[in-house]
Amino acid sequence: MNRLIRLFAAGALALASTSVLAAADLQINTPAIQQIRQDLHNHFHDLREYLASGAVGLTWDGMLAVRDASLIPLDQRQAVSALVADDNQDRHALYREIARANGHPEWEQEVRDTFAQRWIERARPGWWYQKPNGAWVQK
Amino acid sequence: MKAFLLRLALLLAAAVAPAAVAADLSFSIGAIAGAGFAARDLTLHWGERGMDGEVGEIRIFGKTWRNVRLVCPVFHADLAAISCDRGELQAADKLPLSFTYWAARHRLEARLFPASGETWRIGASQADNAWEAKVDLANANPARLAGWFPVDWPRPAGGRLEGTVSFSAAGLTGDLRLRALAFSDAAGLRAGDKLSGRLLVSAVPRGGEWRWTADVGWREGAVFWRPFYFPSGGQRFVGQGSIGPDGLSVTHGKLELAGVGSARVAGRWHKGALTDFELAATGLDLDGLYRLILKPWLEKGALANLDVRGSGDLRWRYRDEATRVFDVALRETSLKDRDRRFAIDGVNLRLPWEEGQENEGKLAFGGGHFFDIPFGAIQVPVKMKGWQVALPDLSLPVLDGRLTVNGFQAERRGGMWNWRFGGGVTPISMERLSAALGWPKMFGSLSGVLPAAIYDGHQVRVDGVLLVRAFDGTAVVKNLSLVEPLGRAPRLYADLDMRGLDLDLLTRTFSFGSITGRVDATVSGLELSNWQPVKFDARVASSPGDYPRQISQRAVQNISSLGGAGAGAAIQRSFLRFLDQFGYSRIGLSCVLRNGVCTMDGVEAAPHGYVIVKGGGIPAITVIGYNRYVGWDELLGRLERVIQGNVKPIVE
Repeated sequence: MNRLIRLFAAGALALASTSVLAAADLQINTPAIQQIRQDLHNHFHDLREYLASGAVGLTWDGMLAVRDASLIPLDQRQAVSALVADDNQDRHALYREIARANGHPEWEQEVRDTFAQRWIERARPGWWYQKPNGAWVQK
Repeated sequence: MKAFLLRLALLLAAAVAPAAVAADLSFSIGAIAGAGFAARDLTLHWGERGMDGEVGEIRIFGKTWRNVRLVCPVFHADLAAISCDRGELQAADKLPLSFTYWAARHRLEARLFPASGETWRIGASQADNAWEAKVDLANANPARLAGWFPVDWPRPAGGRLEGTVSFSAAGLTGDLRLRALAFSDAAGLRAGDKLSGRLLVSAVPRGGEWRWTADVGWREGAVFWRPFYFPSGGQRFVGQGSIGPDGLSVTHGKLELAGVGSARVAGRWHKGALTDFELAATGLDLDGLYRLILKPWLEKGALANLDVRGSGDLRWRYRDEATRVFDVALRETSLKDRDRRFAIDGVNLRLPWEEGQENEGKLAFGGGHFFDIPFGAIQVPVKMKGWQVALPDLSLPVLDGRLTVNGFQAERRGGMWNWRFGGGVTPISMERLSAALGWPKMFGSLSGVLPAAIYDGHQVRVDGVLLVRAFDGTAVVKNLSLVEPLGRAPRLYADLDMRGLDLDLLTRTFSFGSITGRVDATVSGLELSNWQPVKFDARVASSPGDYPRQISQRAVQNISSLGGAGAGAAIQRSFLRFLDQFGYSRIGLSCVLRNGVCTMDGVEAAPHGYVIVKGGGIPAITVIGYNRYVGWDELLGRLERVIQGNVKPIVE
């Protein structure tokens, strides 16, 4: 499972060779990026069961979304919803910091697009992801 | 529907009267329609085995059923009445039922038995253009009504209903008791479970709209209505208002929330938006208010994880989509960060804000702590005009000194708060400050001047020069800015210039060994990301001037340790190892940090290295560093070991 966690939380950072954004170093590390990656890693521990159940899915723009809250026990919905919002703030910060650390803050959108694609490619079978038209698909 | 039944009854009655059934009777109707109702392909067969009717398609208030069959094994029809006993309506499901229709009274009574022990009793009648209908529910499952709810509304999913709903041209009344009610919208973001309570409602038509009164008591059960979660009941709403083309309004209402308190509310929703809203509450329990209502909005900010105690009042008037009055009071309130970053006690606050007025409030608190630094009491007036807030000059006791804040002004522009202030710190004993922070015991005092700190909604910028006095020298911070201070990755930029720091005070503080003398230090282009340095050009060098310069053997050893292997060889292989104090003429060390690596240099070049301590006087010592490139983390590790005293002088 640790391998899976690493795959999810840090996997997309190790993809420079196939990145569509060949010019940017997506593995670049700064104290801020390190902290955000650690936060994402921690969130994944708490979110993986909801990703597996389909309650939470990967959006087409590199974020997470509560796809079907009815799969979450009622007394946990607020916490999961808050965790998804928290995770998304970290994702947003990750894309911005990687672009900034590359010396090109204007690359944020490209960094986000590349990550979005890779999160989906590396999603486990059974997880749900969103297509650009908004439709949800199970991997 | 009644017209249809009436026609059907008359038809049947005319066909069979006056005798009982002597032979089978069958007939068909192509189509029949009325207000909110249409049916086609009706066939009916009545014989010795009762009545058997089929409808190809029936539509009632927009809902359509196909191939609906009604079987009545015990069927009776005459001029006075039609009745069906132990019947069954067969569509997608089978619905056992009985009904009777009295033609003269235009009255229908039906009993539906969807499940064992569950009864829906429906009565409807019409007389002299007046109609009335009544539904009595016993152990009724509200999920059967789900199909009648708009698609984007939460729908009932289970539970039990008892009670009565009556309709007539004069209005509607309902008295329902709910047990174990469950509801949810399609996404599960507005959902409740195991809800019990009572709903009393009435509505009468008046001039194109309905005037309603309601008393909704929610006694047990949990509701999640993103972002709120109410884990238990104890909520009640009593109110009245209207519903019609202008939307839904509450003219008077009282809302009670368990663990929070009660509030008088009024408002209007029109086209999916809240246009007017008014709320007045006194004596609210701030702990409950924070946990149930405020916390879900605060996410991961500084106020997201508090223990709150105290009570408060709120009056809020929102008219035509803008806040007009916001009057808040907190009494004897304490806010304590669960992560122990800050706490503030004895808060008494009154902020009476009213649009277009100059308002004056007051803020007082008894004290608290910021991280581990305690601060004392304060009481100040707060001036407000529109979205501008100003405070008079403040002086807050901090340890044995004071923190002053001058000319604080805040303004909300474009949805963002902007603020600025100047200020300073009058001398605080470093001994007390270091003890409060759990740092090594420091000597001297800390004081400083802050000309102007400005926040523009994105970054905090210090205009002018921040001046700090510490270690008997001066430190000047220039070009200080803090970007996204509350964001996920705050960044700090600054240039530092320190002059004449007393090395004796400094080295005593960090158990570094003893160095007598003074140093100047510059850190230019400092950049911190998430409070960790990522870039700077730093240099420490002996201050110019005439002063005693002595360095202890332990300090030499520690400096050598910072320089890495190879440094400090001079002391180890010479007779100087027998001495404890040495003279020096200059000390200097620099680090240029880039990409996690510190490029080091000293006061001057040496063969294969650089001079960190240049000897002078008798006895003199020279320390040479040979490692030019040191990882920042490694350097921090060495410094930590030195400060913790883990590095012992080795004298050969």
